Amino acid sequence: MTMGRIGTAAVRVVDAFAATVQDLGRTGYEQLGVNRSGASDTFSARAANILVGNAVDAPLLEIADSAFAFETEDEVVVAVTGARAEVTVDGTVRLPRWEAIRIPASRILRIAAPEAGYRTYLAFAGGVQADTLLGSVSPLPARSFDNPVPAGTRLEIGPRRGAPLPRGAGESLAPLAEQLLSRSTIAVMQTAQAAMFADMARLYTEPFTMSPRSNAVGARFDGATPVRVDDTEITSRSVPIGSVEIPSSGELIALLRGRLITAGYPIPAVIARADLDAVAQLRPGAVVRFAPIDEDAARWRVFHQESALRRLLELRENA
Amino acid sequence: MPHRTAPVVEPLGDSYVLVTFTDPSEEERWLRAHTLCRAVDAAGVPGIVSTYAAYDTLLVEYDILRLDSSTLVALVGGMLRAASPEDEAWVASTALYRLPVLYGGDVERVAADIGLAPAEFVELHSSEPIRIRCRGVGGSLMMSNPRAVPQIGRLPSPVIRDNRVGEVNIAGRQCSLGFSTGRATTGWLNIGRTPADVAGARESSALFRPGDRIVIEPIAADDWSDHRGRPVAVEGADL
Repeated sequence: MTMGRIGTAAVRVVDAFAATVQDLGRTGYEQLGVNRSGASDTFSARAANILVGNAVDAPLLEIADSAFAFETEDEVVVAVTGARAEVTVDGTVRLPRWEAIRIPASRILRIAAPEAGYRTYLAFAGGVQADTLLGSVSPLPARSFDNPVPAGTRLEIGPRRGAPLPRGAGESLAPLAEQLLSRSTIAVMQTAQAAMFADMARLYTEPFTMSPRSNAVGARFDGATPVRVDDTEITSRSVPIGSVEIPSSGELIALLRGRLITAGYPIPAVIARADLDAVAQLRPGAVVRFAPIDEDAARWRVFHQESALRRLLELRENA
Repeated sequence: MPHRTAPVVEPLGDSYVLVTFTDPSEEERWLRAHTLCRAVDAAGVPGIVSTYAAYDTLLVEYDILRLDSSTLVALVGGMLRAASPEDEAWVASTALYRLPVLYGGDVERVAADIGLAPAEFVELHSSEPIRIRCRGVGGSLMMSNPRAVPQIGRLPSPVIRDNRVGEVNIAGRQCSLGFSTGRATTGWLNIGRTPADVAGARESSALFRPGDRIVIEPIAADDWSDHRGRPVAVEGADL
Protein backbone atom coordinates (compact mmCIF):
# COMPACT_ATOMS: atom_id res chain seq x y z
CA MET A 1 0.00 0.00 0.00
CA THR A 2 1.34 3.41 -0.93
CA MET A 3 -0.16 6.46 0.68
CA GLY A 4 -0.35 9.86 -0.91
CA ARG A 5 1.11 11.38 -4.01
CA ILE A 6 4.61 12.16 -5.11
CA GLY A 7 6.88 12.92 -2.21
CA THR A 8 10.51 13.91 -1.93
CA ALA A 9 11.35 11.07 0.46
CA ALA A 10 9.66 7.91 1.64
CA VAL A 11 9.63 5.47 4.53
CA ARG A 12 8.17 1.98 4.75
CA VAL A 13 6.15 1.11 7.86
CA VAL A 14 7.32 -2.22 9.33
CA ASP A 15 5.36 -2.31 12.60
CA ALA A 16 2.10 -0.57 13.41
CA PHE A 17 -1.07 -1.31 15.34
CA ALA A 18 -3.12 1.87 15.80
CA ALA A 19 -1.54 4.67 13.78
CA THR A 20 -3.44 7.27 11.72
CA VAL A 21 -2.51 10.37 9.76
CA GLN A 22 -3.81 13.45 11.54
CA ASP A 23 -3.71 17.23 11.38
CA LEU A 24 -5.65 19.78 13.41
CA GLY A 25 -8.99 18.71 11.91
CA ARG A 26 -11.75 20.72 10.29
CA THR A 27 -12.81 24.20 11.33
CA GLY A 28 -15.50 26.09 9.43
CA TYR A 29 -17.65 23.14 8.40
CA GLU A 30 -19.68 22.97 11.62
CA GLN A 31 -22.85 24.21 9.92
CA LEU A 32 -22.57 21.26 7.49
CA GLY A 33 -22.58 18.94 10.51
CA VAL A 34 -18.85 18.25 10.39
CA ASN A 35 -17.05 17.95 13.72
CA ARG A 36 -13.54 19.22 14.49
CA SER A 37 -11.64 15.94 14.92
CA GLY A 38 -7.90 16.00 14.27
CA ALA A 39 -5.03 15.15 16.63
CA SER A 40 -6.43 14.54 20.12
CA ASP A 41 -3.40 16.17 21.85
CA THR A 42 -2.92 19.33 19.80
CA PHE A 43 -0.04 20.65 21.92
CA SER A 44 2.15 17.64 21.18
CA ALA A 45 1.10 17.53 17.52
CA ARG A 46 1.84 21.20 16.93
CA ALA A 47 5.14 21.00 18.81
CA ALA A 48 6.29 18.06 16.65
CA ASN A 49 5.52 19.99 13.47
CA ILE A 50 7.22 23.18 14.68
CA LEU A 51 10.36 21.24 15.69
CA VAL A 52 10.84 19.75 12.20
CA GLY A 53 10.11 23.04 10.39
CA ASN A 54 6.55 22.28 9.24
CA ALA A 55 3.42 24.39 9.39
CA VAL A 56 1.73 23.66 12.76
CA ASP A 57 -1.13 21.85 11.02
CA ALA A 58 0.94 19.66 8.67
CA PRO A 59 -0.16 16.00 8.45
CA LEU A 60 1.68 13.79 10.95
CA LEU A 61 1.15 10.41 12.60
CA GLU A 62 -0.82 9.82 15.79
CA ILE A 63 0.07 6.47 17.35
CA ALA A 64 -2.40 5.30 20.01
CA ASP A 65 -1.01 3.18 22.87
CA SER A 66 1.13 0.96 20.66
CA ALA A 67 4.56 0.52 19.11
CA PHE A 68 5.45 1.82 15.65
CA ALA A 69 8.47 1.29 13.40
CA PHE A 70 9.53 2.29 9.91
CA GLU A 71 12.51 1.89 7.59
CA THR A 72 13.82 4.95 5.78
CA GLU A 73 14.25 4.80 2.00
CA ASP A 74 15.78 8.28 2.02
CA GLU A 75 17.10 10.62 4.69
CA VAL A 76 14.27 12.10 6.76
CA VAL A 77 14.02 14.53 9.68
CA VAL A 78 11.57 13.53 12.41
CA ALA A 79 10.37 14.61 15.84
CA VAL A 80 8.56 12.38 18.36
CA THR A 81 6.35 14.03 20.98
CA GLY A 82 3.34 13.18 23.14
CA ALA A 83 3.34 10.01 25.22
CA ARG A 84 6.63 8.95 26.86
CA ALA A 85 8.06 6.09 24.80
CA GLU A 86 11.55 4.83 24.01
CA VAL A 87 12.73 5.82 20.53
CA THR A 88 15.60 3.89 18.97
CA VAL A 89 17.39 3.62 15.63
CA ASP A 90 18.46 0.17 14.43
CA GLY A 91 17.63 -1.21 17.86
CA THR A 92 20.61 0.33 19.59
CA VAL A 93 20.85 4.10 19.47
CA ARG A 94 18.37 5.84 21.79
CA LEU A 95 17.01 9.10 20.47
CA PRO A 96 15.64 12.06 22.41
CA ARG A 97 11.97 13.01 22.13
CA TRP A 98 10.75 16.62 21.61
CA GLU A 99 13.68 17.27 19.28
CA ALA A 100 14.25 17.27 15.49
CA ILE A 101 16.45 14.31 14.50
CA ARG A 102 18.01 13.54 11.12
CA ILE A 103 17.70 9.83 10.18
CA PRO A 104 19.83 8.63 7.24
CA ALA A 105 18.51 6.25 4.57
CA SER A 106 18.12 2.52 5.26
CA ARG A 107 17.70 2.80 9.03
CA ILE A 108 14.88 1.45 11.18
CA LEU A 109 13.35 3.85 13.67
CA ARG A 110 11.26 2.21 16.36
CA ILE A 111 8.94 3.89 18.84
CA ALA A 112 8.04 1.57 21.72
CA ALA A 113 4.57 1.41 23.27
CA PRO A 114 4.09 4.31 25.74
CA GLU A 115 5.36 4.11 29.32
CA ALA A 116 3.30 7.17 30.24
CA GLY A 117 0.57 8.88 28.27
CA TYR A 118 -1.52 7.34 25.51
CA ARG A 119 -0.83 9.04 22.17
CA THR A 120 2.57 9.49 20.52
CA TYR A 121 3.07 11.96 17.66
CA LEU A 122 5.57 11.48 14.85
CA ALA A 123 6.21 14.41 12.49
CA PHE A 124 8.32 14.25 9.34
CA ALA A 125 9.93 17.41 7.95
CA GLY A 126 7.82 18.08 4.84
CA GLY A 127 4.71 16.41 6.27
CA VAL A 128 3.10 13.07 5.43
CA GLN A 129 1.26 12.93 2.10
CA ALA A 130 -2.30 11.63 2.51
CA ASP A 131 -5.79 11.97 1.09
CA THR A 132 -7.88 14.85 2.37
CA LEU A 133 -11.62 15.35 2.92
CA LEU A 134 -12.91 18.89 3.45
CA GLY A 135 -9.36 20.17 3.74
CA SER A 136 -8.14 17.72 6.39
CA VAL A 137 -6.41 14.33 6.48
CA SER A 138 -7.99 13.42 9.83
CA PRO A 139 -10.48 10.54 10.02
CA LEU A 140 -14.17 11.43 9.79
CA PRO A 141 -16.08 8.25 10.72
CA ALA A 142 -19.51 9.63 9.73
CA ARG A 143 -18.21 9.81 6.18
CA SER A 144 -16.28 6.52 6.35
CA PHE A 145 -13.12 8.59 5.75
CA ASP A 146 -9.98 7.25 7.37
CA ASN A 147 -6.21 7.43 6.90
CA PRO A 148 -4.93 4.39 8.78
CA VAL A 149 -1.24 3.52 8.61
CA PRO A 150 -0.90 -0.28 8.87
CA ALA A 151 2.38 -2.18 8.59
CA GLY A 152 3.46 -2.33 4.96
CA THR A 153 2.38 1.24 4.17
CA ARG A 154 4.85 3.28 2.12
CA LEU A 155 4.60 6.83 3.43
CA GLU A 156 5.54 9.60 1.03
CA ILE A 157 7.01 12.70 2.67
CA GLY A 158 6.36 16.12 1.13
CA PRO A 159 8.87 18.82 0.26
CA ARG A 160 10.43 20.55 3.28
CA ARG A 161 9.22 24.07 3.96
CA GLY A 162 11.53 25.35 6.66
CA ALA A 163 14.66 24.32 8.52
CA PRO A 164 14.25 22.08 11.57
CA LEU A 165 15.01 23.63 14.94
CA PRO A 166 18.52 23.04 16.30
CA ARG A 167 19.30 20.51 19.02
CA GLY A 168 18.07 21.54 22.44
CA ALA A 169 15.39 23.90 21.13
CA GLY A 170 12.62 21.65 22.40
CA GLU A 171 13.98 21.57 25.96
CA SER A 172 11.90 24.60 26.87
CA LEU A 173 8.78 22.43 26.36
CA ALA A 174 9.90 19.75 28.84
CA PRO A 175 7.93 21.02 31.88
CA LEU A 176 4.72 21.33 29.86
CA ALA A 177 5.35 17.96 28.18
CA GLU A 178 5.69 16.29 31.59
CA GLN A 179 2.56 18.00 32.93
CA LEU A 180 0.63 16.64 29.95
CA LEU A 181 1.43 13.09 31.00
CA SER A 182 1.04 13.37 34.76
CA ARG A 183 -2.18 15.29 35.19
CA SER A 184 -4.35 13.91 37.98
CA THR A 185 -6.54 17.00 38.42
CA ILE A 186 -8.65 18.18 35.51
CA ALA A 187 -9.91 21.76 35.56
CA VAL A 188 -13.59 22.31 34.72
CA MET A 189 -15.99 25.23 34.58
CA GLN A 190 -19.47 24.51 35.92
CA THR A 191 -22.43 25.63 33.80
CA ALA A 192 -26.00 26.70 34.60
CA GLN A 193 -27.12 23.21 33.49
CA ALA A 194 -25.57 21.83 36.70
CA ALA A 195 -28.93 22.76 38.25
CA MET A 196 -30.37 19.67 36.53
CA PHE A 197 -28.25 17.45 38.84
CA ALA A 198 -28.28 16.61 42.53
CA ASP A 199 -25.02 16.17 44.45
CA MET A 200 -22.96 18.28 42.03
CA ALA A 201 -20.30 18.45 44.75
CA ARG A 202 -19.45 14.82 43.92
CA LEU A 203 -17.84 16.02 40.69
CA TYR A 204 -15.17 17.73 42.82
CA THR A 205 -14.89 15.33 45.74
CA GLU A 206 -15.05 11.86 44.17
CA PRO A 207 -12.27 10.14 42.18
CA PHE A 208 -13.06 9.10 38.59
CA THR A 209 -11.37 6.22 36.77
CA MET A 210 -10.67 6.37 33.02
CA SER A 211 -12.49 3.55 31.20
CA PRO A 212 -10.99 1.45 28.37
CA ARG A 213 -14.11 2.31 26.34
CA SER A 214 -12.68 5.78 25.71
CA ASN A 215 -11.89 6.95 22.18
CA ALA A 216 -11.33 10.13 20.16
CA VAL A 217 -15.02 11.04 20.54
CA GLY A 218 -15.02 10.94 24.31
CA ALA A 219 -12.99 10.00 27.36
CA ARG A 220 -15.20 7.85 29.58
CA PHE A 221 -14.87 7.69 33.35
CA ASP A 222 -16.45 5.54 36.04
CA GLY A 223 -17.18 7.02 39.45
CA ALA A 224 -19.80 8.34 41.85
CA THR A 225 -21.28 10.96 39.53
CA PRO A 226 -23.79 13.67 40.34
CA VAL A 227 -27.33 12.39 39.69
CA ARG A 228 -29.63 13.90 37.09
CA VAL A 229 -32.89 14.90 38.76
CA ASP A 230 -34.41 17.11 36.06
CA ASP A 231 -35.41 14.93 33.11
CA THR A 232 -36.70 17.77 30.92
CA GLU A 233 -36.19 16.73 27.28
CA ILE A 234 -33.35 18.75 25.72
CA THR A 235 -33.74 19.51 22.01
CA SER A 236 -30.61 18.62 20.03
CA ARG A 237 -28.06 21.45 20.02
CA SER A 238 -24.38 21.81 19.43
CA VAL A 239 -22.18 21.05 22.42
CA PRO A 240 -18.64 22.22 23.25
CA ILE A 241 -15.51 20.16 22.84
CA GLY A 242 -14.70 19.38 26.47
CA SER A 243 -18.35 18.95 27.49
CA VAL A 244 -18.94 16.75 30.52
CA GLU A 245 -21.96 14.49 30.01
CA ILE A 246 -23.46 12.15 32.58
CA PRO A 247 -25.66 9.82 30.50
CA SER A 248 -26.44 7.59 33.47
CA SER A 249 -25.50 7.43 37.10
CA GLY A 250 -21.91 6.25 37.52
CA GLU A 251 -20.81 7.11 34.01
CA LEU A 252 -19.18 10.39 32.93
CA ILE A 253 -18.06 11.27 29.40
CA ALA A 254 -15.69 14.12 28.56
CA LEU A 255 -16.23 14.93 24.88
CA LEU A 256 -12.99 15.31 22.92
CA ARG A 257 -12.31 16.78 19.48
CA GLY A 258 -14.04 13.87 17.73
CA ARG A 259 -17.32 14.75 19.45
CA LEU A 260 -20.42 14.72 17.26
CA ILE A 261 -21.68 18.17 16.38
CA THR A 262 -25.04 17.86 18.19
CA ALA A 263 -26.24 16.09 21.33
CA GLY A 264 -29.22 16.05 23.65
CA TYR A 265 -27.68 15.53 27.10
CA PRO A 266 -27.29 18.32 29.68
CA ILE A 267 -23.75 19.69 30.10
CA PRO A 268 -23.19 20.40 33.82
CA ALA A 269 -19.51 21.33 33.31
CA VAL A 270 -16.96 21.87 30.56
CA ILE A 271 -13.28 20.96 30.77
CA ALA A 272 -10.89 23.91 30.53
CA ARG A 273 -9.32 24.19 27.09
CA ALA A 274 -5.84 24.03 28.66
CA ASP A 275 -6.56 20.54 30.04
CA LEU A 276 -8.07 18.88 26.95
CA ASP A 277 -4.73 17.60 25.68
CA ALA A 278 -3.93 16.10 29.10
CA VAL A 279 -7.29 14.26 29.08
CA ALA A 280 -6.41 12.84 25.63
CA GLN A 281 -3.18 11.47 27.16
CA LEU A 282 -4.87 9.64 30.08
CA ARG A 283 -4.55 5.88 30.09
CA PRO A 284 -7.39 3.47 30.95
CA GLY A 285 -7.30 2.97 34.71
CA ALA A 286 -5.96 6.46 35.39
CA VAL A 287 -7.65 8.05 38.41
CA VAL A 288 -8.42 11.77 38.20
CA ARG A 289 -10.25 14.41 40.15
CA PHE A 290 -12.05 17.39 38.71
CA ALA A 291 -11.47 20.87 40.13
CA PRO A 292 -13.23 24.15 39.40
CA ILE A 293 -11.34 26.91 37.58
CA ASP A 294 -12.43 30.45 36.76
CA GLU A 295 -12.15 32.10 33.37
CA ASP A 296 -9.12 34.23 34.21
CA ALA A 297 -7.12 31.25 35.46
CA ALA A 298 -8.24 29.18 32.46
CA ARG A 299 -7.09 31.94 30.09
CA TRP A 300 -3.72 32.24 31.83
CA ARG A 301 -3.07 28.53 31.41
CA VAL A 302 -3.91 28.63 27.70
CA PHE A 303 -1.66 31.69 27.34
CA HIS A 304 1.18 29.84 29.08
CA GLN A 305 0.90 26.85 26.71
CA GLU A 306 0.50 28.92 23.57
CA SER A 307 3.45 31.13 24.55
CA ALA A 308 5.72 28.09 24.74
CA LEU A 309 4.77 27.10 21.17
CA ARG A 310 5.00 30.70 19.95
CA ARG A 311 8.56 31.01 21.35
CA LEU A 312 9.54 27.91 19.36
CA LEU A 313 8.06 29.41 16.21
CA GLU A 314 9.95 32.64 16.85
CA LEU A 315 13.19 30.68 17.23
CA ARG A 316 12.56 29.29 13.77
CA GLU A 317 11.74 32.67 12.25
CA ASN A 318 14.86 34.23 13.75
CA ALA A 319 17.13 31.37 12.67
CA MET B 1 -41.75 43.02 15.67
CA PRO B 2 -44.09 41.19 18.09
CA HIS B 3 -43.13 41.02 21.74
CA ARG B 4 -40.47 38.39 22.16
CA THR B 5 -38.95 36.54 25.05
CA ALA B 6 -35.36 37.42 25.92
CA PRO B 7 -33.12 34.41 25.19
CA VAL B 8 -30.93 32.78 27.80
CA VAL B 9 -27.27 33.60 27.08
CA GLU B 10 -24.83 31.48 29.08
CA PRO B 11 -21.10 30.70 28.91
CA LEU B 12 -20.28 26.98 28.54
CA GLY B 13 -16.69 26.61 29.69
CA ASP B 14 -13.91 28.97 28.64
CA SER B 15 -14.46 28.87 24.85
CA TYR B 16 -18.21 28.79 24.16
CA VAL B 17 -21.36 30.83 24.71
CA LEU B 18 -24.79 29.21 24.23
CA VAL B 19 -27.84 31.30 23.32
CA THR B 20 -31.17 29.52 23.93
CA PHE B 21 -34.43 30.99 22.64
CA THR B 22 -37.52 30.27 24.72
CA ASP B 23 -40.34 31.83 22.67
CA PRO B 24 -43.57 29.77 22.71
CA SER B 25 -43.48 29.04 18.97
CA GLU B 26 -41.01 26.42 17.73
CA GLU B 27 -40.85 28.24 14.38
CA GLU B 28 -39.97 31.51 16.10
CA ARG B 29 -37.27 29.96 18.30
CA TRP B 30 -35.65 28.39 15.26
CA LEU B 31 -35.93 31.53 13.11
CA ARG B 32 -34.41 33.75 15.82
CA ALA B 33 -31.52 31.33 16.43
CA HIS B 34 -30.64 31.15 12.75
CA THR B 35 -31.11 34.88 12.15
CA LEU B 36 -28.76 35.62 15.05
CA CYS B 37 -26.28 33.06 13.67
CA ARG B 38 -26.29 34.85 10.31
CA ALA B 39 -25.76 38.20 12.05
CA VAL B 40 -22.81 36.86 14.08
CA ASP B 41 -21.27 35.30 10.95
CA ALA B 42 -21.74 38.51 8.95
CA ALA B 43 -20.21 40.65 11.70
CA GLY B 44 -16.87 38.86 11.31
CA VAL B 45 -15.95 39.38 14.96
CA PRO B 46 -12.21 38.70 15.45
CA GLY B 47 -11.74 35.75 17.81
CA ILE B 48 -14.96 33.90 16.93
CA VAL B 49 -13.95 30.40 15.79
CA SER B 50 -17.26 28.79 14.82
CA THR B 51 -21.03 29.15 15.07
CA TYR B 52 -23.77 26.53 15.00
CA ALA B 53 -27.49 27.19 15.15
CA ALA B 54 -29.75 24.18 15.81
CA TYR B 55 -33.49 24.02 16.62
CA ASP B 56 -33.65 26.74 19.26
CA THR B 57 -30.03 27.49 20.13
CA LEU B 58 -26.90 29.15 18.82
CA LEU B 59 -23.52 27.92 20.05
CA VAL B 60 -20.65 30.37 19.50
CA GLU B 61 -17.06 29.13 19.90
CA TYR B 62 -14.36 31.73 20.56
CA ASP B 63 -10.63 31.95 21.20
CA ILE B 64 -10.11 32.75 24.87
CA LEU B 65 -6.90 34.64 24.03
CA ARG B 66 -8.77 37.04 21.73
CA LEU B 67 -12.21 37.36 23.35
CA ASP B 68 -13.77 36.78 26.74
CA SER B 69 -17.22 35.50 27.62
CA SER B 70 -18.53 38.80 29.00
CA THR B 71 -17.51 40.69 25.84
CA LEU B 72 -19.14 38.04 23.68
CA VAL B 73 -22.32 37.99 25.80
CA ALA B 74 -22.47 41.80 25.49
CA LEU B 75 -21.93 41.63 21.71
CA VAL B 76 -24.72 39.08 21.32
CA GLY B 77 -27.00 41.23 23.50
CA GLY B 78 -26.26 44.23 21.28
CA MET B 79 -27.01 42.27 18.13
CA LEU B 80 -30.33 41.06 19.58
CA ARG B 81 -31.34 44.62 20.50
CA ALA B 82 -30.38 45.89 17.04
CA ALA B 83 -32.36 43.13 15.25
CA SER B 84 -35.12 44.29 12.92
CA PRO B 85 -37.88 42.39 11.05
CA GLU B 86 -35.91 42.80 7.81
CA ASP B 87 -33.17 40.59 9.25
CA GLU B 88 -35.59 37.67 9.03
CA ALA B 89 -36.49 38.25 5.37
CA TRP B 90 -33.98 35.57 4.30
CA VAL B 91 -36.41 32.84 5.33
CA ALA B 92 -38.89 33.91 2.62
CA SER B 93 -36.43 33.24 -0.19
CA THR B 94 -35.35 29.73 0.69
CA ALA B 95 -35.31 26.83 -1.75
CA LEU B 96 -37.84 24.01 -2.08
CA TYR B 97 -36.82 20.42 -2.87
CA ARG B 98 -39.05 17.64 -4.14
CA LEU B 99 -37.74 14.44 -2.63
CA PRO B 100 -39.04 11.03 -3.77
CA VAL B 101 -39.18 8.67 -0.78
CA LEU B 102 -40.01 4.99 -0.64
CA TYR B 103 -41.56 4.57 2.81
CA GLY B 104 -40.69 1.31 4.55
CA GLY B 105 -38.36 0.09 7.29
CA ASP B 106 -40.02 0.61 10.67
CA VAL B 107 -42.98 2.50 9.20
CA GLU B 108 -45.56 -0.13 10.25
CA ARG B 109 -44.33 -0.02 13.83
CA VAL B 110 -44.26 3.80 13.90
CA ALA B 111 -47.77 4.01 12.43
CA ALA B 112 -49.11 1.40 14.87
CA ASP B 113 -47.60 3.30 17.81
CA ILE B 114 -49.74 6.31 17.02
CA GLY B 115 -52.83 4.32 16.03
CA LEU B 116 -52.65 4.73 12.26
CA ALA B 117 -52.51 2.40 9.29
CA PRO B 118 -49.16 2.65 7.44
CA ALA B 119 -50.80 4.37 4.46
CA GLU B 120 -52.41 6.96 6.77
CA PHE B 121 -49.07 7.66 8.41
CA VAL B 122 -47.38 8.12 5.02
CA GLU B 123 -50.09 10.53 3.92
CA LEU B 124 -49.77 12.53 7.14
CA HIS B 125 -45.97 12.61 7.12
CA SER B 126 -45.82 13.85 3.52
CA SER B 127 -48.76 16.25 3.89
CA GLU B 128 -46.85 19.55 3.96
CA PRO B 129 -43.37 20.91 3.20
CA ILE B 130 -41.00 20.53 6.15
CA ARG B 131 -38.12 22.85 6.93
CA ILE B 132 -34.47 21.92 7.29
CA ARG B 133 -33.67 23.11 10.83
CA CYS B 134 -29.94 22.41 10.76
CA ARG B 135 -27.36 19.93 9.46
CA GLY B 136 -26.57 17.11 11.88
CA VAL B 137 -23.92 14.43 12.14
CA GLY B 138 -22.41 13.59 8.76
CA GLY B 139 -24.31 16.48 7.17
CA SER B 140 -27.74 14.91 7.73
CA LEU B 141 -30.77 17.15 7.26
CA MET B 142 -32.41 17.72 10.66
CA MET B 143 -36.10 18.59 10.22
CA SER B 144 -39.34 18.79 12.17
CA ASN B 145 -42.24 16.51 11.29
CA PRO B 146 -45.43 18.07 9.93
CA ARG B 147 -47.33 19.51 12.87
CA ALA B 148 -50.14 16.93 12.56
CA VAL B 149 -47.73 14.02 13.24
CA PRO B 150 -47.84 13.09 16.93
CA GLN B 151 -44.70 12.59 19.01
CA ILE B 152 -42.90 9.38 17.99
CA GLY B 153 -41.13 7.41 20.73
CA ARG B 154 -37.42 6.64 20.39
CA LEU B 155 -36.23 3.06 20.62
CA PRO B 156 -36.24 2.10 24.32
CA SER B 157 -32.63 1.01 23.95
CA PRO B 158 -30.31 2.35 21.20
CA VAL B 159 -29.22 -0.12 18.55
CA ILE B 160 -26.17 -0.36 16.29
CA ARG B 161 -27.18 0.00 12.67
CA ASP B 162 -25.51 0.28 9.27
CA ASN B 163 -26.41 3.65 7.83
CA ARG B 164 -27.14 4.12 4.13
CA VAL B 165 -27.17 7.42 2.29
CA GLY B 166 -30.68 8.79 1.80
CA GLU B 167 -32.41 7.17 4.78
CA VAL B 168 -35.31 8.99 6.39
CA ASN B 169 -35.38 8.53 10.16
CA ILE B 170 -37.75 9.71 12.86
CA ALA B 171 -37.73 10.35 16.63
CA GLY B 172 -39.83 12.61 18.84
CA ARG B 173 -41.04 15.54 16.72
CA GLN B 174 -37.98 15.40 14.51
CA CYS B 175 -37.12 13.59 11.32
CA SER B 176 -33.88 13.48 9.38
CA LEU B 177 -32.44 12.62 6.00
CA GLY B 178 -29.12 10.87 6.53
CA PHE B 179 -25.97 11.24 4.45
CA SER B 180 -23.81 9.01 6.64
CA THR B 181 -22.48 5.60 5.85
CA GLY B 182 -20.97 3.14 8.28
CA ARG B 183 -22.14 1.83 11.64
CA ALA B 184 -23.65 4.07 14.27
CA THR B 185 -25.57 3.75 17.52
CA THR B 186 -29.02 5.26 17.29
CA GLY B 187 -32.37 5.42 19.04
CA TRP B 188 -34.13 6.70 15.94
CA LEU B 189 -36.46 4.64 13.73
CA ASN B 190 -36.09 4.31 9.97
CA ILE B 191 -39.21 5.08 7.93
CA GLY B 192 -37.89 5.05 4.38
CA ARG B 193 -35.23 6.05 1.92
CA THR B 194 -34.87 8.27 -1.11
CA PRO B 195 -33.42 6.82 -4.33
CA ALA B 196 -32.40 10.33 -5.47
CA ASP B 197 -28.76 11.43 -5.58
CA VAL B 198 -28.48 13.44 -2.38
CA ALA B 199 -24.89 12.53 -1.48
CA GLY B 200 -23.47 14.73 -4.22
CA ALA B 201 -25.01 17.80 -2.60
CA ARG B 202 -24.02 17.18 1.00
CA GLU B 203 -20.92 19.38 0.99
CA SER B 204 -22.43 22.20 -0.99
CA SER B 205 -23.04 25.28 1.10
CA ALA B 206 -25.65 26.34 -1.48
CA LEU B 207 -27.86 23.25 -1.24
CA PHE B 208 -29.91 21.89 1.66
CA ARG B 209 -29.43 25.02 3.76
CA PRO B 210 -31.22 25.59 7.05
CA GLY B 211 -34.57 27.12 6.18
CA ASP B 212 -34.93 25.31 2.86
CA ARG B 213 -38.08 23.18 2.61
CA ILE B 214 -38.52 19.57 1.59
CA VAL B 215 -41.66 18.20 -0.04
CA ILE B 216 -41.66 14.44 0.40
CA GLU B 217 -43.26 12.67 -2.57
CA PRO B 218 -44.02 9.04 -1.65
CA ILE B 219 -43.18 6.56 -4.37
CA ALA B 220 -44.05 2.91 -4.93
CA ALA B 221 -41.38 0.20 -4.81
CA ASP B 222 -41.81 -0.31 -8.56
CA ASP B 223 -40.78 3.32 -9.17
CA TRP B 224 -37.48 3.09 -7.23
CA SER B 225 -35.31 2.40 -10.25
CA ASP B 226 -36.88 5.29 -12.20
CA HIS B 227 -35.68 7.72 -9.51
CA ARG B 228 -32.41 6.06 -8.57
CA GLY B 229 -29.38 8.34 -8.86
CA ARG B 230 -31.36 11.24 -10.28
CA PRO B 231 -30.71 14.74 -8.92
CA VAL B 232 -33.27 16.20 -6.52
CA ALA B 233 -35.66 18.68 -8.13
CA VAL B 234 -35.06 22.11 -6.60
CA GLU B 235 -36.86 25.44 -6.93
CA GLY B 236 -35.35 28.73 -5.81
CA ALA B 237 -31.83 27.66 -4.82
CA ASP B 238 -29.24 30.37 -5.37
CA LEU B 239 -26.76 28.20 -7.25
